[in-house]
Amino acid sequence: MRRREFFRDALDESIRAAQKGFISLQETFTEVNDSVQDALDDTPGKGDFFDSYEMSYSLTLAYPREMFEQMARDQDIPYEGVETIDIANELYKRGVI
Amino acid sequence: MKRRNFLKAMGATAAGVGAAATIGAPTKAFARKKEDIGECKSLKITVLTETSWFDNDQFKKDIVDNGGASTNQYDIPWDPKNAGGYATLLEIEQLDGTVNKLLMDTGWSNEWMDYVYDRHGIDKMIESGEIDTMVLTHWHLDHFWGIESTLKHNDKIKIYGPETMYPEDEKLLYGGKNEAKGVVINKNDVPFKGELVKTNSKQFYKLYPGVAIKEFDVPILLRVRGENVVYVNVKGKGIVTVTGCCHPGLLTLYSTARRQIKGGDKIYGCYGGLHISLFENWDPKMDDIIKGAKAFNPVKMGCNHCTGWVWAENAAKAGLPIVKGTNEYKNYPRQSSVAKDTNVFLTNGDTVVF
Repeated sequence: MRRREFFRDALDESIRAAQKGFISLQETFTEVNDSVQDALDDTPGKGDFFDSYEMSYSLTLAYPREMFEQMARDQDIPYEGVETIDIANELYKRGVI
Repeated sequence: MKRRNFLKAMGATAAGVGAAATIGAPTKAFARKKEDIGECKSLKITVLTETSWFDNDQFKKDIVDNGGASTNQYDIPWDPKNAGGYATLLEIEQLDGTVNKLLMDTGWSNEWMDYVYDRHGIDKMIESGEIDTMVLTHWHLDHFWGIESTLKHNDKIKIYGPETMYPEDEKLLYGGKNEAKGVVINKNDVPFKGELVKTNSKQFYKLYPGVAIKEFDVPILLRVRGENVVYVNVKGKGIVTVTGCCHPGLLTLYSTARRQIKGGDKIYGCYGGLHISLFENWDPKMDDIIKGAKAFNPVKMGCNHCTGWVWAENAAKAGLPIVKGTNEYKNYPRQSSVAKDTNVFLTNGDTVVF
């Protein structure tokens, strides 16, 4: 290999490596940015289903409380004084719903 | 501390040291990748039927008397006289004037659905191929068990349904019947011969320019899981969500649009069941859903079915743009026991254009 080709190949390799590094860095920044943007942006409706009634209302508020108590009784899950969302979450964890 | 609060605090600290300018305001290169679902000119919705059942108390009794809300829907001998169904016609006008017709759901009682299809000419639209696709929102009885009424007009209609289907669903779809406690609860004599696209939550399924399905894998009672939602992007207006029951939650749908769909920061409205006060029960926490929805500044909200009249009335009073229905539903042979003159529901036979 001639000296000139060696340097050209080395330069190509360096550029490709830098490009890969930049893409990886960009992906990392995008992920960080998305998380921070989520946090700064006060959009309702983000998070996990059982994080809040706001997220889970279609399950936890839509049905009468006694339906959850009925399911909890069947599963021996304590429900007196327990929030409906916590009962629902426990039922979900047990695979009942 | 929850992740959201933790990150909020982190963001605030970053701003304090001057980093927020770069982190909080993303450059185009670092901006979140959003799905481009295209745009359409308008969306017209016709409420074919939103009365899944006619008597709320009977529906609730059937559930409670047969083991409660975690019971498999196929194990309950439902009162057949109470069965109606949920189905919607979507007419999407493209930018070039072409109109695509899409059927959402296929109801519960075959007798009811045959009547509804005949009343609106849906049977002929399916036969002619004018409607060649159906989006099944989820596998609940009132959205799916009337499948024979659709298949008898075209057994090869393309169906998009959540991948979370059970053997009983499959049995009914491909021709069969199911019994609960010795009672036949559904039947389909026309085996499905078309393509079933099993949707999952990992991707958007684009149907036409401006129209895409997104599946949300959420827990639903009566042993059902996952719901398909149709997102429509109306040019110059914004995103409209079309739902069967909206089990994922309206705020989640809007938030998903904002975060994942190109142009989704502009919410135009919604149509369908919102699954809030299903049995006309009221909880003060439901006010938070009204407040949450207001934060997205929707322009038109058409709701019915499992939304709850009480919630729709309170939402309208609180200033949400609830589209009022007409009295057309009274011309149907049966009405829901909870229908009121406030007309805050878009009821059977009503239309709305987005």
